[in-house]
Amino acid sequence: MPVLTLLSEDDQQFILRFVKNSGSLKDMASQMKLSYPTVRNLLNEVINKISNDEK
Amino acid sequence: MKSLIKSATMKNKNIFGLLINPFSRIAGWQAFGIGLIFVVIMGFLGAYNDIAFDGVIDMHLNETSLRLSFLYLITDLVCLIVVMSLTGLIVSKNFRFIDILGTMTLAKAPFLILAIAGFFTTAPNLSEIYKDPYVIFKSMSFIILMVLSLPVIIWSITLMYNALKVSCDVKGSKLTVAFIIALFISEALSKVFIYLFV
Repeated sequence: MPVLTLLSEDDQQFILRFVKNSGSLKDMASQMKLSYPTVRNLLNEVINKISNDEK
Repeated sequence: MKSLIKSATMKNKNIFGLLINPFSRIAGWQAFGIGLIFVVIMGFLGAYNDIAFDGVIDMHLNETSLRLSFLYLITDLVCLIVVMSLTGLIVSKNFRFIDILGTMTLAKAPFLILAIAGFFTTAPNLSEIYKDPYVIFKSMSFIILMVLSLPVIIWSITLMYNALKVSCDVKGSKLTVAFIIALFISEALSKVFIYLFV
């Protein structure tokens, strides 16, 4: 949990949205009016940040 | 008033951003569908206006039949998509083929401007050019088409770059080097295939 608090508000919102959409990037993309690969790239960025924070 | 100007500037920036990178909003099948419409129109106009899109980032004023016009475009697209997909396999861990297919097809859309410009262009006769190359400068419409082709090609290359960036999630020098090599290979391949088989 502390790792999540290290993330920016936007990133936390992104994770919240991800959970609310049951991890469906397709649903998130249509909700955010972004393309599927863009949402997947945003998720990759958050994953990288979490991995760095964990180190 | 200030906020109005700010929102107008933001809107302009957004429009410009979408023109050079629509793939943040559109990718996959949707991009492929839209791109295909552009390509089909280009095929018909190319044949009608005798503009041959005989290369991934290339066009020439040549007598072109409908069959040839579409064969050129199909060869271009297949070369571009196959080479960019292979590049994606090398530089990226995970990407969807449909994203490369869709975004790369849509990246060819700016060439439609040149296909339309063909309506207003009369190419100088080849035999006349051989006799006197300066005859080109007497055809104003031909010069305008040549000048117009430069920003169109740059726009299309920018779209292809962003297509690879969004589809494969690669950035920085890795993206730039991979893209330049892939673009050269796809252009060369398309030229070779057109020369040998079309």
